[in-house]
Amino acid sequence: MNPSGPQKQSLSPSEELLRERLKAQAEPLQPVTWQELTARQATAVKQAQPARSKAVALWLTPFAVAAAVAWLMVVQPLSTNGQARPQTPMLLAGNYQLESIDRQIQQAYLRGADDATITALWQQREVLTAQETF
Amino acid sequence: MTQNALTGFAQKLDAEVIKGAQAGRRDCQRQLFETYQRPVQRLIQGMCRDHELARDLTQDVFLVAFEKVAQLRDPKALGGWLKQLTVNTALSHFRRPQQQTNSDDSAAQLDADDWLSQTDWLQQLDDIDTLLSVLDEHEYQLIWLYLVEGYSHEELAELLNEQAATVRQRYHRALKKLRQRSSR
Repeated sequence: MNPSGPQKQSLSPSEELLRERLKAQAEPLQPVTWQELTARQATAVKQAQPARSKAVALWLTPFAVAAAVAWLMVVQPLSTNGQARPQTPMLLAGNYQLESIDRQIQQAYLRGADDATITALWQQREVLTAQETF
Repeated sequence: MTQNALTGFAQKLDAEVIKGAQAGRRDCQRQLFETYQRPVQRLIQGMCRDHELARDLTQDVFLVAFEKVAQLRDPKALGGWLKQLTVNTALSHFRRPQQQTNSDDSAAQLDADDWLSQTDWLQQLDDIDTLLSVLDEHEYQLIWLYLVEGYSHEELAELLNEQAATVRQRYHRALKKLRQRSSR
């Protein structure tokens, strides 16, 4: 757009006069100074900074979530030497004891042990089973 | 002499200064500001009739100009570019739904043409503020942009996103209002 008015009709005397009155009326009483503009610019920059940080944080959120998921799903299951952890759960000490009692009960039956011995072994087994439950 | 020359936007700045401003150099930006501060503020003051608002919007214009001047390809176009930016800044501040009226536009134009041939009343009028107070914001802006800033009705239509005929009618209606006010 070229507001130089090539297609514009010439102004009438009244319009010319009105234009001069308008121009005279619009002369700035207090022109803006460079110092004012600089101060305004500094304020604008200061106000824009938190917004910019917020925007950066919003942009980073999906990446942070993806990184956390990757850490939980991929990195953490690996041991520090890079080997995968065993897929089977580690046996607890109680399991060894239970296995031992079971073996003892089996042998007691095989060798024809008395009822008191067998009852005592079953009681021990119950105690171990109760501990594992809690 | 072009209308830009009349309103101060045709002032030339050294190409090196413009390049410096585009590169963000503060001394060059300052020179650009000092050169065009007055025409920018006068244009906005003319459009809004509020000194404080004009000061605020003037600062807005220069802050945007410093940010976007790097996009300017032809340094010779700086004045026109800045003028366009100023008008757009002012219009975007004031933009709101336009009220369309269906008054007798041909009669408005007839009366306005009649008024155009008379200048005596205007020469004798001291209080132009009172006279202009009959115009609403849009009518005033239209008159300012047409008479002082040199936009044609067609250019204004493009700027205001309206039909050229509508702009012309509104201009003549505004003149008619001035004539009626002055004859009281």
